[in-house]
Amino acid sequence: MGLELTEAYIDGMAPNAAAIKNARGLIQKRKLVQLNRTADDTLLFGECAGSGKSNYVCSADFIQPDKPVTRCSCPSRQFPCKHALAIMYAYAAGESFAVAEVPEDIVSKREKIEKKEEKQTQTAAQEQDPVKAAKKKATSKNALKKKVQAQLDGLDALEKLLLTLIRDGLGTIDAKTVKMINEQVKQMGNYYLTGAQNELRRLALLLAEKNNREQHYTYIIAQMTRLHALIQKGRRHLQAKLDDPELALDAESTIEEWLGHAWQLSELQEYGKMTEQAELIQLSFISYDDPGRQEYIDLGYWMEMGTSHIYRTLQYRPYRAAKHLREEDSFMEIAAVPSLYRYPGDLNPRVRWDGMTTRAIKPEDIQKVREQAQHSYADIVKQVKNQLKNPLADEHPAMLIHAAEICGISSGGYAITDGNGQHLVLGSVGGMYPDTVQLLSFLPADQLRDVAVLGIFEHRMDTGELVLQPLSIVTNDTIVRLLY
Amino acid sequence: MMSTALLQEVYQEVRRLYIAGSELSAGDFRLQKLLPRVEQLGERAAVFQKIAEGIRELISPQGATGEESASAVKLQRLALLLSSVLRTQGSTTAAGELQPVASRPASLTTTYTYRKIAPLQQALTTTGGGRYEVVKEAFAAGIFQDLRTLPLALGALNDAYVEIAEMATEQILPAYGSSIIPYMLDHFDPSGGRLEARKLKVIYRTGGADYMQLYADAAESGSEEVRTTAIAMLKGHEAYTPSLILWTRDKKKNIREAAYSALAGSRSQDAMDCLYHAFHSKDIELVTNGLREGMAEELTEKLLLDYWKDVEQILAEKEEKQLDKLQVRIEAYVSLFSSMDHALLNKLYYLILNHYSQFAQDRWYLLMNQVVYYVEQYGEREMLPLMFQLEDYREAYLPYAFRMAHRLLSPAELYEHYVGKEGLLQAGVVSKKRRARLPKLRQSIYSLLIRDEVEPALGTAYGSEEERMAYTLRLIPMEEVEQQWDARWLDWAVKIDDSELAAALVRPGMPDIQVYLIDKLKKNPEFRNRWAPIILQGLDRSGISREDKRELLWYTLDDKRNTSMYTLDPYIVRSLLELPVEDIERLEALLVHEDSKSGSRFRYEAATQLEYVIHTLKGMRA
Repeated sequence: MGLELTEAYIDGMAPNAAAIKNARGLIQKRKLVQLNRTADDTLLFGECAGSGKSNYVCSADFIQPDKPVTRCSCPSRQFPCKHALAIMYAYAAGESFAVAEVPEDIVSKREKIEKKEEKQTQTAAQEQDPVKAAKKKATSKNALKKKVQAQLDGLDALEKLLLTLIRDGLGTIDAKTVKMINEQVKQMGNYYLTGAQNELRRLALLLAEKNNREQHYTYIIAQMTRLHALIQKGRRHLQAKLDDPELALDAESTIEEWLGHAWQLSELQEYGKMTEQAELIQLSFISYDDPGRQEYIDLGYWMEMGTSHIYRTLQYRPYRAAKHLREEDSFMEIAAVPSLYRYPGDLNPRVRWDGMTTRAIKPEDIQKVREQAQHSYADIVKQVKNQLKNPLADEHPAMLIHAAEICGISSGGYAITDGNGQHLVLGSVGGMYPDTVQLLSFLPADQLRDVAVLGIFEHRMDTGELVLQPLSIVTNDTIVRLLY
Repeated sequence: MMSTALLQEVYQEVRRLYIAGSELSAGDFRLQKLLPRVEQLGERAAVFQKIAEGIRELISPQGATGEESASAVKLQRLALLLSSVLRTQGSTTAAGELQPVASRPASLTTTYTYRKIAPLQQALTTTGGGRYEVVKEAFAAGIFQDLRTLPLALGALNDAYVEIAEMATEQILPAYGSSIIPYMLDHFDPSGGRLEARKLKVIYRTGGADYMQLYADAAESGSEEVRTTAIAMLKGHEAYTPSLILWTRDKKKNIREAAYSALAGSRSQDAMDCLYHAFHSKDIELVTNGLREGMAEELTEKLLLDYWKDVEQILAEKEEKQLDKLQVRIEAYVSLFSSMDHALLNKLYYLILNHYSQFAQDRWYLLMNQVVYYVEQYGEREMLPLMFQLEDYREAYLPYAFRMAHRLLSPAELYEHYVGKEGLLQAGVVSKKRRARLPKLRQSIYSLLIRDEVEPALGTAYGSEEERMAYTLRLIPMEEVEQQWDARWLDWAVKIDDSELAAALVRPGMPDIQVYLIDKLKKNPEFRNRWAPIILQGLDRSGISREDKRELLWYTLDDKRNTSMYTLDPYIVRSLLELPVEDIERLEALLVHEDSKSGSRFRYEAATQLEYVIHTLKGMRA
C-alpha cells in the first residue's frame, strides 16, 4: 500500500473523542458496505449504511498528502465525519479495499481545488505587481483611516471607564457596576478592538468573582495596569498609523494582536516570518476554556527540531462554533511542515502551518531535544524577567531547562539545580494548568537526574517569587508528559 | 534585597489605594512616610527615582476641577511601573535545604493523550451524573496505568459517590500492586472514618499477611469504622484469638459482630466456647451472622443438638412467652444451617414434617419453608404421602409437593394424582378449595416447563460481546417434555385455556393445537406480552411451516394494537430474522412514522433491533 495511515494519525484528524468512538462503532456494526481505493492509493472511498434508505457516499482524498480532504454525503457538520473516519480506520486496520477508478464527482472536485490554488498563486503574483498594488492601497487608505480613528475612540472610552472605577475604588464595585462594565464590553465591539474587548471582559469576570476577594484584588489590579499599558501603547501605535497611513504593520511586537489584528499567513510571509521545511516536536499540550475570549483554546508547546526555539500553537474555538471545530489533542509524532509561520512574539511566539506530514519520533530525536536545554540559570532568569516586566507579554514564558537534579526542599516543595549551586523553585501556576508538581514524587530516580525540563514561569506578585511549573521532562529516551 | 522589600511595601500601599479609591491618594500619610526611603535609593538607581517621582505626584494635592481622573491616571502609572520593576525582582531561592526527592517510583508511563485523560480528570474532580461510567471505562481501558491519573486514583478513594470510592478500593488502587501501599500508609490515620477504612482495605488486598501488626493495631485502637474493618483481617490468625475474644465484650455492637465473625475462623477451644455462649445470649443475631460463613465441626454438632432439643420443647410447650423465646433461637438456627447437609439435621427435618400440623403455622413459617424445601429436593418416596397431606392442609405447600412428586412419580402417576384426583374437568363443579389450588398447580407446572434465562438482547449493540443482557423465557428441551410429561397434560392446558402451558407441552404433528396457538397470538398480537415469545417457541416446536409463520408474523407486525415496543425479546428478533429477503422493504416501512403524533410503533431499542434485522437481511441478499 502506498498510503501510510496509522490509527494515531486518524485519531488526530478526528474532531473529538466522540467521533472516534462513533466511527469505530460503524466498523463493529458493519455499516461500511463498500470499500474502494484507487490504484495509486491517493483516494479511499466507499459507502456506509446510515439510518435512512440510501447509503452515505464517502471518501478520503490524499492527493495532497499534507492536506487530506474528506467528503461525505451525510449531513454532519463535523469534518471529518464519522463515516470518513470509519473508512480510514478500516484502511489502517488492513481491511481489503477493492481497486477502482476515481469517481467522476471527485475528479471534478480535485480539478476545482487545483484551479483555486492556481488562482491564489496568480493573485499573490499580482499583488507583487507594484502598479496594481498601489491602486489597491489607495482605495483602502480612507477606510484604514476611519478604522484607526474608531480604534482611538474606543481606547478613549475604555480609559474613561477604567479611571472612573479607580477613582471610586475597587471596594465600591457591586453587581450594578459589573453589569455596566459588561455593557461596555459589548460596545467595544464597535471599535475594532477585539483584543481590548477581551481584556475588559476578563476584568469584568474578575470583578464579578465573589469568593476570595482579597486574593482577587491582586489579579484585578494586575489586569487594570495591563489595560493601562494597552491603552498607552495602543494609542501611540495608532496615532503613528494615523499620521502615516503608509506605515507597515508592527511585526516585531504583539501590539497589533492586542488591538485585534488577525495575522494572515500571507502577511507573516511578507514580513519574513516564514521558514520552509521545518520539523516540530510537541513537548506539551493543554486545552482550556478562556471565558475572557469566550473561546476554548488548544495550546501546544513545540520545539523546532535543530533549534532551541519553544513555540506555541494556539487554536481558538469560539463557544458558538466549538461544536463544529476540531478539538486538538496531544500530538505524539513529529510534524513535518512545508512552511512554518511565526507570529510576532517574545520567547515563545505563536506558530501556525497549513498542511503537514508526520513521522514517528525516533530515539535520536529525543536526544536532540534534550541537548537543546539551556544550562545557565542566570541567563534563563534574565530572559524570563525581561519578558515578564512587559505587561503586554505572555505571563507564562516557557523554557527548556537542563536540570542536573530535581530535588526536594526541606521546608516542602521542589526545585531543580544546575549542578553548580544554582537552583530554581518549582511550583504550580494554577489557573487552567493542573498541578504537575505533585507527580514528581512518583517518578523513578533516572527521570529526576540529568534531564531537560520544559516549564513555564510565573511571577507571584503577592509573595515576590518567581516559580517554574514543570510541564514535561525529557530524559535520554522519553518525554515524560506531566501535563498532557 | 532591602530595596525589593521596600518596593513591596509601596506596592501594598498602592493596592490599598486601588481598593479605597484613588481620590483618597492626595496627601496619603503612609506613602508620604515611605517616600524618603525610596528617594534615598533613587540616588543610586534611576528607576527608584522614577518611582519616587510617581509617589510624589500621586500624593500631591488634587488639581483643579475637570481633572477628576488625574489621581486615577497617576495611580495607574505608578502601579504599572512598580509591577514591572517587581517582576524583575522575583526570587528563585528555595526557603530550605535541597535534598533528594523522596520518590516512590510507580513505574507508570505518560503515553495517553489529552483526549483520553481529560474526561477521567473531569469525572474525578467534579460532581454530577455519569461519572461512574467514565471511571469504569477508563479503568477497563488501562488509563489508570498513566502517571497523571495516579493522584486521581488516590483521590477517588474519598469520592462522594460511594460506587466510585468502592471501585477505587476494590479494583483501581489494588491494580497498582504493592507499590501503592506506601501511599496508603503515608497518610493513614486509624482514628479517621470511612476513608481510612478503605485505605486499610487497599493495603490488605495488596499486602495481605505482610501487614498483620498494622491490622492488629488498627483493630485495637482505631475508630469504630477502622476497627471493624481491621478485625475482619485478623480472621484465621490464632495469635489474635485472645484479642478477638476480648472484643466480643466491647460496648459497640459493630465491634462485637466483627469480632464474632473473625472468631468463627478459629479452631481453638476458647473461641468455640465464646461463640457458643454468645449464641445463647442477647448477641444471638450478631454471632449468627458471623457463623453463617463457616464454623468449627465441634461447634456445629453442639448447636445441632441444641436445635433438636428446642424443636422437641416446642412440641411440648404451651406457654406463649416460652414459644417467643424459642422462635428467636429457631430463626437463628434456620439462618445458620440454611445450606448445610448433615445427617442429624435431615432427621430433624423429618421429625418436624411428621408434626406438620404443629409447625405449618405463621410463627414457624421460616422453619417450615426450609423443611419442605429440603424434603422436596432430597426427601424419599415414603415422605411423599406426608407432603400430599401437607398440601391438603395448606395449598401454599402444593408447589413443593408437586415438584417432589414430579421428581419421584412416573408421568402418568403424576397426572393422575393431580388431575385425576382433582377431577377438575370432569366434574365441571369447582369448589372453593379447588379454585384456590388451580393457580398453585399452574404455577408449579409453569416453573418446571418454562425457565428464566439471560441472553444477549440481539441487535442492541455494535458487537455481539457488547450486547446488553436481557431476561427472557425459554421452554425446557422437547426430550424432557416427552420423557417427563404425560401427554394428557396438553389437553388439560387447552381446556383451562392456558396458552403458555400449551405452547410448552406441544409436540410435532398436532395441527389442532397449532391452530389454537396461532389464534391465541392473533387475538393478542402485542410483542410486549410475556407469552408472545413463548407461543412462537411452541409453534416452532409444533413444526409450523415457514410460510405460515411468515403470515402470522406479518399479521402481528401489521396489527395496529401491537404498539409501544421498547425492546424486543431475543426470540422475536430471531423469528424476524427468518423472514425472507423480499420482506426488507416492508420491514423498512415499519420504521417510518405512521403518523406524526404517535411516531413509529418501534421505539428506542426496539427500533435499533428492527434496523439490525433489516441490515442483516440486506447482508443475506447481497
